[in-house]
Amino acid sequence: MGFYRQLIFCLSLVLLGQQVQAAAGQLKEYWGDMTSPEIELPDLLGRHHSLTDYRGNVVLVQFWATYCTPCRTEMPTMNRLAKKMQGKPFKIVTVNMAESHGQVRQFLQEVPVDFPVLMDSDGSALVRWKVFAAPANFILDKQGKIIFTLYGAIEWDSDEMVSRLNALIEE
Amino acid sequence: MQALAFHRSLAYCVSVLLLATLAFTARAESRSILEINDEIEIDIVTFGEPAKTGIIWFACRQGEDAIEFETARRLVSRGYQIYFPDMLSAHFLSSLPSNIARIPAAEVVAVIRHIIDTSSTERLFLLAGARAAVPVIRGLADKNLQQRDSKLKGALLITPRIYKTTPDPGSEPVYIDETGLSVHPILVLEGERTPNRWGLPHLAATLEKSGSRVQTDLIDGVRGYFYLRDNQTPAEMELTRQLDSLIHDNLQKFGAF
Repeated sequence: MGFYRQLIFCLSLVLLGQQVQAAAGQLKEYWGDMTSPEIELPDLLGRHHSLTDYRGNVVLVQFWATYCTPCRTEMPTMNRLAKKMQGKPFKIVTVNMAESHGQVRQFLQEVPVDFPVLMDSDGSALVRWKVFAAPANFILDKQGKIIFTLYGAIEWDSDEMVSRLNALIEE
Repeated sequence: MQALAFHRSLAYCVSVLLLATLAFTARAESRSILEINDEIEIDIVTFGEPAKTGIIWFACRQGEDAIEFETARRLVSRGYQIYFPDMLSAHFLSSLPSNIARIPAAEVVAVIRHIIDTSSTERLFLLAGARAAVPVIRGLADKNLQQRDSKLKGALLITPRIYKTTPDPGSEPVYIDETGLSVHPILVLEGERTPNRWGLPHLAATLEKSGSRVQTDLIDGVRGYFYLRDNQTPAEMELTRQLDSLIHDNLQKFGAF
């Protein structure tokens, strides 16, 4: 009896996880205060990055963590997206959720990325951006306004996503 | 040489006997059924003898091999009495985390009331993790359970998930309607390796709205609902083995805040 209960529980968790993922990977129009809060953070090498430096570009800002399984899965698709959008005013900026340099370095050895990884060591950016789940994605227009949000993992280099980003670039 | 072998065998037999006795004592459990309105029958498993402190543990999983039962046996040896109301079976619901959130508040309150009335423990605490924190919040919101002289002394929530839906990026979390209607002390433990930790100040402020004193704490090196995961890290496995210590140590804090 105990075994079957455990089995049902595990299957339920898997099903729930699939439902959550299926429901999660959708762009949502953002209706809050559209002005994106500033991000001024160092990357892994200590180089300073400011979100205002990216103005004039459509920007994907992603908050992620090494313990987040969907983050691991989708990062290669973000690399491919960056390649597809090369030469266009589009940038990807990711912010790690207050983990140590060691944890992030180890992750990036396993999953190398072609975009900046900023270190939000005290979580202050997370709080300003109201991030309570991972991965949390924001798409900003060229003026730095939050246009879309997305919770969960998706195929970032899908044709649909590329065309939506291109539409934003052309606005 | 033969005498040595005899003593060894004797020592072995005594050890086995002792272990068996200990195991039997620790496994001592009883079952009772609470009938509500002649319609719903809720099975309540009780671990341990009447003790000074009792715990009403709302859990999604029940059964011999559930970590919750294993932990309960260890808590019994620390002097607690543990009650597990099986809120799901009464409705033929599977052990789905979302199902425990569907249990009507009236049933949760009836179970807590029944245990308060029938238990000889001096003080009772509610305990739940992940989505099972929903019935605890619903129970605490009930006015009838909020008398000052009640045995109910508070709730310990381990990585609770009481959102209506997962918060969208850029939005404040929205909790179930009963959040913030409680007066009892609440201690919230959250994993250090989960984004939910950044919502703790907001959660605490919401829970405190009707008078509950709320304390929050982080559990180092683990993700949310670490003890329920099937992909546990070594740190999460280790802490799951020590779940009884985590619960015991944190219940001690209730006298202090």
